[in-house]
Amino acid sequence: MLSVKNLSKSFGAHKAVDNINFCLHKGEIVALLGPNGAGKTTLLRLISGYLIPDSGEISVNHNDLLTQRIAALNKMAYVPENSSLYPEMSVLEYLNFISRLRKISQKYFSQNAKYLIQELSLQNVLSQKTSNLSKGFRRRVALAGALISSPEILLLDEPTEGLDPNQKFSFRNLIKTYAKQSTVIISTHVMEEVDAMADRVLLINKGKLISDTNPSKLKKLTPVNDIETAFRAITSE
Amino acid sequence: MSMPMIVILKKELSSIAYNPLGWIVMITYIILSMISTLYGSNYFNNCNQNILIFFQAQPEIFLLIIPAIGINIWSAEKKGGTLELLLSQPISFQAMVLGKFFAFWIFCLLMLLPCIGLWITTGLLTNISLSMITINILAYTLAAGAFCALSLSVSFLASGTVAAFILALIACIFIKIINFTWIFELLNISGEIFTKVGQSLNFDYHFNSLLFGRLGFDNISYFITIIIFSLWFNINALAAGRR
Repeated sequence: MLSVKNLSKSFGAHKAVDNINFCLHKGEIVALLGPNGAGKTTLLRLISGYLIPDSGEISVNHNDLLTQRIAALNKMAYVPENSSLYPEMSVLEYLNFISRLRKISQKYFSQNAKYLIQELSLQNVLSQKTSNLSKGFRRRVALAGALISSPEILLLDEPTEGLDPNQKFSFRNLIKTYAKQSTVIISTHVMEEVDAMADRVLLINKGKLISDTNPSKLKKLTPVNDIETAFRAITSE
Repeated sequence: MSMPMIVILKKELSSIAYNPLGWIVMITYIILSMISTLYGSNYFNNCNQNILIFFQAQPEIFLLIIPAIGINIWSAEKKGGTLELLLSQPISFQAMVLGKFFAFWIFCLLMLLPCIGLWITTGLLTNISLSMITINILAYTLAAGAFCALSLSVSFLASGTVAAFILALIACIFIKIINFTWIFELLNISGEIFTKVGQSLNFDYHFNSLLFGRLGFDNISYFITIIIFSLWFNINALAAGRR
């Protein structure tokens, strides 16, 4: 579904992403783990088409992201770390704007928006300007905007930051339900999230993919059987 | 026109309308246009009422007004982080740039509406022909389009609003004042061909020719060339900016 081959990206002398390779399949929830500055956000920005790689290939269902950009992006949605929204739009206007940009039919939009508004508890803020929303609500609106087109690949950068425990719980349930027919990549620092959601873990450090495993195997790398300890052991080397 | 382009156009128009700066600029435009027409040219003196005076002052007013409207178009996307959102949508760079450009251009054309009263009054006083007004509006439209495209593409290179305004202002002043005839004279280059080249690259020459009713291909193509070249530059800068 998503294939990344020999992907590299540098900013001046700094190699943010260094020859990364992986292939993701339908139904997987993949956690992108790594310390600050490891290259997680750059990797997501490359996959989302926001940045162009120096070398390497990204293809989505055999559509190359560089040469068939629109076809590849049609199957993807990305929620950046800062959940940027247009401040002059209300929540409903924002969802409508994204759906029209993605050429979603009005009928499909109505059905899907109704479901997402309910799942993400956005009923009471629909007419509010996005600039007046709290961080948690902004995150949920950005997520609703990404899910409105039911993309085959969903890229989430630090998605639960700013959410309260109840919101985190409903968010995880929503993503798990959603991932049954799609692929979800979550960049996160929260080990609890990896444990609760991920089927697969891509561990990145200094721009390199240092481990491609699953959470249970990652835990077993340390005697205490804990992801956080394993993470510290691998990335502090 | 593609659908995503129209979606961006509508969004951009509502962004300009939502921003108080857009309204302040529009009011400033009306005040400047009225002052330049009514007081800058003895309008109230007998038999001196002429709609041409209104249009002749427009390029100078545009120099201040158009970069001021355009400052937020790209810099707000960069500052607010929404450029990341926009570039990850399945829409072409052309649709993004053209949507923003047409919204900017339409807003500049809407600025003309509050001035219609002045034209009607002048028309009643001087028996001005409708075809002349139409040609003057065409000159206004093309000059506004050229300044909008130039401001939009140049302001993309800046990250902040102040830098975007300064860059757009410099680009607009440059295109307005550059006169190759003087440069050729300065370099002691003479000849009919150089005079023609100098004229063909002069903003005022083409604008005034249009205002006086010379609907030549050279005059129209001059402004269209600036628009196309500026938008082409913006589309490429947007694509290359992802590096």
